[in-house]
Amino acid sequence: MMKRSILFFIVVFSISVSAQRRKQDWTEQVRFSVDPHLKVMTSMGNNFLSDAFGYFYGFGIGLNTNLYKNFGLGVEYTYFLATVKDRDRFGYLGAPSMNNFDWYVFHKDKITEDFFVEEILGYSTYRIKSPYLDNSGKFSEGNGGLNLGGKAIYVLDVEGVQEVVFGAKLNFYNAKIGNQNPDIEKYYSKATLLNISLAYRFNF
Amino acid sequence: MCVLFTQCKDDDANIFRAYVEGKFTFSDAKFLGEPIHLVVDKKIMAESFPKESGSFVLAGPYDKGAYKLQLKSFKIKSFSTETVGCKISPDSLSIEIPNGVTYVIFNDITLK
Repeated sequence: MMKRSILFFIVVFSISVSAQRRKQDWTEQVRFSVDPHLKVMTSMGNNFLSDAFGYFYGFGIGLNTNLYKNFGLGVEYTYFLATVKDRDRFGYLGAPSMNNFDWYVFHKDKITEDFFVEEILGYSTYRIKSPYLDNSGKFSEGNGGLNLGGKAIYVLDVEGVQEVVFGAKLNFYNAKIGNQNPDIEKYYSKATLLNISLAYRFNF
Repeated sequence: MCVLFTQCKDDDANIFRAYVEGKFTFSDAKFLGEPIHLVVDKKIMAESFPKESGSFVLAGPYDKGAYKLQLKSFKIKSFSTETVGCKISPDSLSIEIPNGVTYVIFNDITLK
């Protein structure tokens, strides 16, 4: 009886160990990283974001997980501030702030031992808040849109824990601001934003 | 559930930008130094100054109601536009723009 239970224990133990090893093979490739970043963003083309504001300057944090082989998921939060360049077409509003989330899938390419490139495709949400100049609260606008871009990653140490990341991204901005004139509606509701970022990444 | 869903989906569905542009005919150059406004329910939604030529653009966010193009001290004699329903206010300081109109061009606004 005693021998049997010992045997049973050994069998169970060896199965669980081998199962764990198989699991490790898969999870070994799962890596996480966190990267605080700085961004500069500008709006391109004919829309109120490019006419009304100067550059958007932002800071935030990103989280990435390399899930399977060279593919992974990530999210970036950025808080932007901008100055008002032309108030005529903007409204009786003060300098805006923007909350922006970029959710994305990335693919990583190894170029050399300490240089990587990532391609990015995802969806973004935007919320621009501008204070009414009569102090009656804030006007809020913005919605969502696709984002795509790339990152260049330089490894800083032998262990590969610290990296510096340079990124460039196109963010498509969509809102729903109504106007009888379709051109004016589009002028206030659609924009293409170009942003560049610099980040310090920690892998763990 | 349906109401909840549509509310979540269309954050900005009921937000408009009123967009008003046009040209003033004026004789007193002091007019260029005074701000012009779009006002809804006594709340300013847009502010600008006319250019030297008298042309102007005013745009601002609002959600509903009639609004007006308001001058500070100069009075309006007449105006021309293709938009139906606009009229000069009793004090002649503004042009009232009806509810639902979000885009207006005043080809000429002549001051007294």
